[in-house]
Amino acid sequence: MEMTLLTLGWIGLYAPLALGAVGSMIGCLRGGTAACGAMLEVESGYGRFVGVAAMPSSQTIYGIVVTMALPAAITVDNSPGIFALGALSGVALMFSALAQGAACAAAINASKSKPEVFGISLAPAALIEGFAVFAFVFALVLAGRLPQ
Amino acid sequence: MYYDVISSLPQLPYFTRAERLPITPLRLEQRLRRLRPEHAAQLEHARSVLRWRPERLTAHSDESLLAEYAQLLNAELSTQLHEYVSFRRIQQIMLAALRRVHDGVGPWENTRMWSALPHMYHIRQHWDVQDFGLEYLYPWLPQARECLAAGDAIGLEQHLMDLNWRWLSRTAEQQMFAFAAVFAYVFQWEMLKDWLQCDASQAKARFTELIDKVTDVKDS
Repeated sequence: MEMTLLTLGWIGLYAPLALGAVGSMIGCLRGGTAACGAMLEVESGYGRFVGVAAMPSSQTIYGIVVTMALPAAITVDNSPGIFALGALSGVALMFSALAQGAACAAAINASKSKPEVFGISLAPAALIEGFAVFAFVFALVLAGRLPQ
Repeated sequence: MYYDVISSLPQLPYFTRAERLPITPLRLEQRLRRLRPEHAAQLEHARSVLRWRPERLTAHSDESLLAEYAQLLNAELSTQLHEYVSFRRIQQIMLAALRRVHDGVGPWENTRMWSALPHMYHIRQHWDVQDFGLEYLYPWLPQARECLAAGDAIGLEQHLMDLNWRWLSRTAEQQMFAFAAVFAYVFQWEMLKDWLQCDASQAKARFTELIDKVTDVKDS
C-alpha cells in the first residue's frame, strides 16, 4: 500500500511536465504544419506564422513550474495530494495545448488569405491560454498547502 | 488531419463572385499529393463520378450513372464523403424525375435498380403531385421545377451549384482540417472551374456550329 502511494506521488510529481509537454508537442505540430502550408501560399510574413505556431509551447513551461512547486520529498502523507494536483493540472495543460494548437492553425489559415484579421483571429488561442493559466496558478496555490 | 494541406489552399470565392480560379489545376494536384493514400483513392474515385460537367450530362444514361453511384457508395468511403455522394445521388434522381415530368414522360420502369433507390416508391405513387409531395424534405425542388418550366438552364445550374456549395461549406466548417474539408474544397473548386467556363459567346458559336452540322446532314 505504501509503495503504491509513493508511486502515485512520483507520477503526480512528473505528470504536469510530461502531460504539458505531450500537449505542447501535438499543439505545435498542428500550428506548425498549418504554418508550413500557409507559407506556400503567401509571399511574406512567414515569421508571424511560426510565432503563432509556437504558442502551445507555454504549457510545457507551466508544467515545469508546477512540477518544481510540488514538494520534492515524496511521503505517504503527501502522495495522494501530489498525485491529484499533478495529474489533474497535467491533463488540463495537455488539453489546453491541443486545443490551442487547433485554434492557432485556424488563425493561420484565416490570416493567410486575409492578413488584416491576424490579430483578432488569435483571440480564441489567447482565451485558451487564459484557461491554462488558471489551471497553472491554482495548482501553484494548492501546492503550497500540501504537507511537506 | 490535414492542417498543412488546408492551409496551403487559397480561399475560394463564392462561385458567382469569382473572376478567376484562385489555384491552377496543376498546383491543386501538387497540394493534394500530401493526402494519405486511402483518402487520395477515395477522392479520385468520387471525383470521377461526381464531376459537375461535362460527362454528367452527355456520356451517361440514367442507368449507367446510377450504377456508378451504387459502385461508389459500396466502396469504402469516409462518412462525410458517403453522405455527400448520397446527397448528390438524390439530387440527380429528383432532377431526372422533374425533367421526365416536364417532358411528359412517365416514371421509370420498375426495375430492380430503380426500385431500390430512396423515395422511388413515393415518387411513383405521387408522380402527378407537384414536386412529388417532397418539397418539405427537399426545399430546393420548387425552384428547380420553376427553372425547368421556364427553360432557364443557367438559373437551374446556379440553383443546384448554390445548393451543393452551401452543403460543402457546412461540411468544411464542421471539420476544418479533416479530410471532409479537403474534399469539400476540391468539389467546390471543380464547380467554380465549370462555372467560370460558362461563356455566352462561346456557347452561341458552338450552338451555331451544331445547327450547321445538323442542317448539312439534312441537305446531303
